[in-house]
Formats: sequence, C-alpha cells, structure tokens
Amino acid sequence: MTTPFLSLSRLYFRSVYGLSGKKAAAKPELKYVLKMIGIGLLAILVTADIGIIFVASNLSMYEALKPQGLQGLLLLNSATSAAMIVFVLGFATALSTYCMSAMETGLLAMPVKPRHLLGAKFLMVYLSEFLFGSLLVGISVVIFGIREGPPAVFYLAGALVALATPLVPLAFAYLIIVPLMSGIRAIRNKNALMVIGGVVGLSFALLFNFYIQSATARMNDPAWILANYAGPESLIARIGIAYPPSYAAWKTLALCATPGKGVLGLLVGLAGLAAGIVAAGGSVLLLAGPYAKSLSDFGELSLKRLTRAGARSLLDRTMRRKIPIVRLLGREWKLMNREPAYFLNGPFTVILGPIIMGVIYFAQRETYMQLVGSLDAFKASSYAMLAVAAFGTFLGSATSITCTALSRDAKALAYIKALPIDPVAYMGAKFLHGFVVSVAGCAIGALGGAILLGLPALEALGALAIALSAAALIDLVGLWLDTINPRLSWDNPIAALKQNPNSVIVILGVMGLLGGLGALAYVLPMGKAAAATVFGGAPALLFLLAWLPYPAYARKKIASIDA
Amino acid sequence: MIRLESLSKTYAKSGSKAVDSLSLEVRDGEIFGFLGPNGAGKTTTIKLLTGALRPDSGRVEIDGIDLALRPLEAKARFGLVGDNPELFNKLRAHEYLNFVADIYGVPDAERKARIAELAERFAIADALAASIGSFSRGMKQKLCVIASLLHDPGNWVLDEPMVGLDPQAAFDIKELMRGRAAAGKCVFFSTHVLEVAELLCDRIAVIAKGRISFIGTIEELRSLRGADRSLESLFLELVDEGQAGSAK
Repeated sequence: MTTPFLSLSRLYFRSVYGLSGKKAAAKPELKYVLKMIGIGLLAILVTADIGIIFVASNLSMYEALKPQGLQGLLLLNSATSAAMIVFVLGFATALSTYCMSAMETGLLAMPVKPRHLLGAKFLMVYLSEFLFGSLLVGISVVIFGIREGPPAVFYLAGALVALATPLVPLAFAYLIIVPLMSGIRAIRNKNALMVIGGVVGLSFALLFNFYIQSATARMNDPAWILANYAGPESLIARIGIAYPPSYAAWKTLALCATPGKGVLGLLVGLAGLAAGIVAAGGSVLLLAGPYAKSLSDFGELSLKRLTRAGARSLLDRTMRRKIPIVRLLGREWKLMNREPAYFLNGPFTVILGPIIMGVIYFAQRETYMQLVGSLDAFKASSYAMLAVAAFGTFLGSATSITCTALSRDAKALAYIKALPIDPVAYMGAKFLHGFVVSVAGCAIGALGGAILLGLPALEALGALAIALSAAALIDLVGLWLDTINPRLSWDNPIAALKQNPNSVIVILGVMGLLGGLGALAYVLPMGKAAAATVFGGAPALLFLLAWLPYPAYARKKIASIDA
Repeated sequence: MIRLESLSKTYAKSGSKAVDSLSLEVRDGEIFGFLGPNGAGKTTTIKLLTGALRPDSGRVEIDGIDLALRPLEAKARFGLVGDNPELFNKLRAHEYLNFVADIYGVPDAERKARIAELAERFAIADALAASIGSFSRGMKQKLCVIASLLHDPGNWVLDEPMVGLDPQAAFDIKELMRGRAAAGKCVFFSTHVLEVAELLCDRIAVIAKGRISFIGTIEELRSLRGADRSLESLFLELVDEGQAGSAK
C-alpha cells in the first residue's frame, strides 16, 4: 500500500506532466512511439537551447574572472542566478497548479490531510524546478570542473547544491501565494491565476531576453562582465552574499574545490540541504490549513445581479438585430478573447511579437544603428520591402486562429448544427475572425518594420499589401486544415489549440514558405513594383483558387461530423 | 409536425448501432414523450432529428420539409433544448440570447418582449447581464429553454429538460409544454422520469437498444398489457423485451 502523500504526489505529477501509468505489455502503436520520439527530441532541443546560452555566458565570465583570481565567483553567480530563476519559474508553476480544477474538489471530500495536499503539490513543483536548477548549476560546475580540475568531491557537492537550490525559493513562493489566495477572493479562479501567471512569466521572459541580448552584445568586454554580473561589487554577488542559501551553496562548492577541505564542504552542503528541507517542510506545515481552506471555494464566480429596472434597460440597450455573419464574428471574438488560454496563445501573439522585438532593439540599439547605416544597397533594392513584408506576414499569421477554428467549437458543435446556420457563414465568420487579427499583425509587422528600416511610404504600403495577401492565404490554408481534420475530442479547451497538429503544420509551413520565397527573391531579382505585384498577386490568386471549392466542402464536411 | 422515417445510425468509432430503423410521427397539438433507459438511443435520435448527426439511412421531416434537402428551412422550424447546457460559458446571458435571436431572425421588439417575459417567468431576469459561466446548472438550463423559444417555433424538441431544474421551473416548463400543445404546436421531449411522461404526454414512444418497443397513448399501453399495472412495470417490461429482441 502506498501512503496517501505518495499517491497524491504521483497523481499530481502525472496530471501536470501528462504522464500515463505503466503501459500494458502489448506492442506500442507507431503513433505513440513517434510521439514519444518527438517529445524526446523537443526536450533535447529546448534543453540545448537554454543550455547553450548559459554555457556561453559562464565561459565568458570564467575568462573575465580568471586573470584576477576571482573565478570562484562564477559559482556564487551560478548559485544565485539559479535560485532567482527557480524562484520566478517556481512561482509561476506553483500559481498555475494551485488548484487543478475538479480534481481538488474531489480530494477535499476525502479524508486527506491538508499538509499532504500542499506537501504533494510542493513536491510536484519541486521536481520540475530541481531539473531546471540542476541544469543551471550543473553547467557552471562542469565548466569550473574542466578548467580548474577540482577533486571528485566537488561534483558531489554540485549535486547537493542542485538538490537544495529550489527548496527555499519554493518555500518563499508558497509563502507569498497562499496568503494572497486566502486573502483575495477575486483571484481564486482559474482565469485570474492564468492572467497573473502569464504576466509574471511574460515579465520574466522579457527581462531574461533583455539580459541575454545585453549580455550577448557585451560578452567580449571583461570589465563590463565584472562590473555587472560577476565582480565582487556586482548586483548578483551582493544578492548572493546577502541570501544565505546562495552563500552556503557557494561555500560548499568552493570548499569542495579546495584539496583537503572536501569534508568540511560536504558538511556545509548537507547543512544547507537540511536547512532547505526545514524551510520547505515548515512552510508546508504553516500554510497547509489556509491552503486547503482557499481551495474549498476556488472557482466560484459571483453572479452579477440586476434590478428590475436594470434588466429592462439592458434589454432596451442590447436587443438589436445584426446580420448573422456579424453576430457569428462577434461570438468568435468574445469566446476567444475571454478565454485567457486562447487569448494569450492567439491575438496576444500580435502584441507580444513587437514587444520582444522592442526589447531586442532596446538592448542592442547600438549594434542596430550601425547595421542600418550600412544597409543603403539593401534598401535601394526590393529586398528591404520584401523582408519587411515577410515580417508582417509572419506576425499576421502567427496566431493560428483559423487552424483551430472548428476544433475550439467541438463542445458546441451539436448545438450549432441544430441551429439554422449556413456552414459557409459559420466558417466564414471564423475566417474573418482570424483575418481581422492578421490585419493587425501585418500592419504592426510591416509598418513597424518599414519605420525601423526607414522605408518610404509607398514601399511600406507595398510591404503591407504583400503581407495581407500572404496572411489571407495562410489563414485560409489553416481553415482548410481544421475543416478537413478538426480536433474534436478534448477535455481541456487548451488542447484544441496546443495539441492541434494543424497549428504546427501551419507554423512550420509559414517558415518554409517565407524561406522559399526569400530564396526565390534572391534567385530572381526584380524591381520594387514587379516584386510587389508578383509577391502580392500570387498569394491573392492562390487565395481565390483555394476559396472556390471551400464552401461546398465545408457544407459537406460539417454535415458529416458526428457532433 | 415531426416525422422520422426508418432512421438508422451506427457510430463509426464504436461500430455500435445506436438507432435502428426508427420511425415515428409527432403531430401538431400533441406532447410526445420519448422514453428509454440510459444508452437506449434517445439522445442519438434527437441529434438525428435536429441535424447534429447525419443518419446512415432514413429521413427526417419537420413540417413536411426534408432536413437533409433543405436543412436551414427545417431547422428554423424547431427550437431545441439540448442535453448539455454547458455552452458558451464565456458569453453573457443577453449576448447568447441576442446571438440565437439573430440566427433565427427574430425582430428587435419581438425578441425583447419574449426575453423579458420568459426571463421573468424563469426568474433569471436579474442575471441577464452575467456571464453564463457564473450560472448554476439549473440557470443554464432555464437559459437554454428561453433561447429555444425566442422564435416561437412550431416544434419544440427537448432532451431531458427537467434535469437540474427547481420544482418551480419544472412546473413552468410543463405549463409551457401544455400551452404550446394547446396552441396547436408540437412538443417532443425525452425523459426517463415516468411520472412526468404519465402526467404530460398525449402519446409516448419507448425505445430500447435503438428500436421502438411501443408507440401510443398510456391508455393503449395499459389496455395491451394490463390495466391495473403501473407505468413503471410496463416500461421495464417493454425495455426488457426490446433488449432481448435486439440480442437475438
């Protein structure tokens, strides 16, 4: 028999990470094997992507610190950075997994101790943060180890530090989150958590982006690295020395790197780990009661009531007839923008893209100004207009709204099909919804790009026209894909979007298409007017050809779906 | 008037025949109860009759209009209260009603008057500005009932309409059913609450394993099977026979 705490931990872990239990002995299906290979490759890619940034920054720091004999600060920097990053990521994870829908409501009705509930949740968040923390600490330990050749006990110390790193930051995260959730009723619902988690995650991602962009621009400047990141007077060194767990981690690693002081270093490491466990356990015991109490009314929405006069006035104000396609478009708009998971992955992309570009511009503006100054030949050709058009197209088609149009409506399809709605109007509204957002994306991308490059107004308009034409075609291709192969079986609305192969096909297709068109433009150089005509006209023509058979197909397909 | 003619449907995924050569006719001015145990094919039949599912064979006619040939015209002639009121939780109640009214082309004054009257009757007028997600299940069910009547359809189709309703709302629905039948309109509803069927229905059909076991009035059923027996025992007998017949 497994203890309730372990059973709960396993349940949470499997739910959050989508891991099913042991597979039966039967031969796994090819689809399952391919999916697992794909997930494995993605995990390697993401780890390598993050890892390479930290490998580069650690190597640069080591080279900058070594001449002054301060290379040990690399380890303090690593322990502090890992603790800070794990705190932010752990905070977002703890927030997003605070209440896992109906599951917790069911658990509250069972004789489960509150400390087991919170403890199991803490352990589940800890495991993911441990993996991330290990990557960050491990990179520094390995780089330091290769360059300095410390005794083997140094690596054992690295493992101890990695184990201890997430404990105190996560205890802090829960010490902030549980009182907040207990005290503020308005945020005790899934949407509020998603918005807060999204804002925290986004802010962190932007700051991280800024940090990386700035660091990349100055990585060859040892004096700058010393002053800003790893020197004894830098902010990170100050935070590290003021934050005892980082100081303990640094001391553990530094002592274990010194011959003859390994045992002392390990004792410091074990003491740090024990202190972390006490902090984590203490926070769980302290917060378990308020946590369980806050779950009991989680997700309850208060009903907005009107007076009799208010209800009459509402009907007078709102009961206006609109043509069905406009009403259908309005429905699409509201259903997407009021579901945070859809909004953040859909229309918000159009806002997020320019923000990220702004951060990159701000962090690397000197390099950028130099680059723009040397682009006269590029701007004189049609390439600048086409590059700006490509950026507009990319941003305009980044939302994947049409690729999930029918999938998102899976739960309502039986009802929709019973209404006297022409499938063409229904799907047409879905196309328009995607295209309206595409127009915004194309305008921001193409016109913003034109302003940054200093293109004349006519070329900016040409780029916008090309982008709109291409984005309309891509939106229609997405609509075709989701009409042919909608994902109609899901429990969580986000699955209609995130686990939808149509989005992946279109995103990869757009990248391939833009790359192909870039190559074509290079192979067949042409003047600006000719380029605008060819690259704007061809997608428009293809759009028409793709639209012509669509209404008949949509009618047939929607009628055939077993809703 | 609703006419189902030799309807059959086999689900592609499970391969099970959910509805098998089902025929029935619901006349104007009558309340028709569709009875059957769980999994008998009631919801599948309603989905076939409303166009959510396409039959493998057979025909559906609404007021003489073939649903397969003229779907929009046929669908405009009924109002549906489906089995799942969990729809459009992100919309506000008045937005949902306005949406449905536009789809049926209900003029402004008419939709306003009808919403005001029905929302008052079902005691949700004060919640019209609220998000549907904040409604209880019963309130969502009431909202679906209101939406289904906005265009004053000639045919009212309801799938398990009493589920989740408070006694007052259940009473109001029964009154509405009676009122509509008295006005010459057709009411077709599924239920497994036999008391409701006995109290309301002019005629009933009992379905088991996708096949009709009986169609007629409750009096006809009793005269066939025993006048002194309860509807419950008659129903169970019919279902048993239907399931045994299907297994042969």
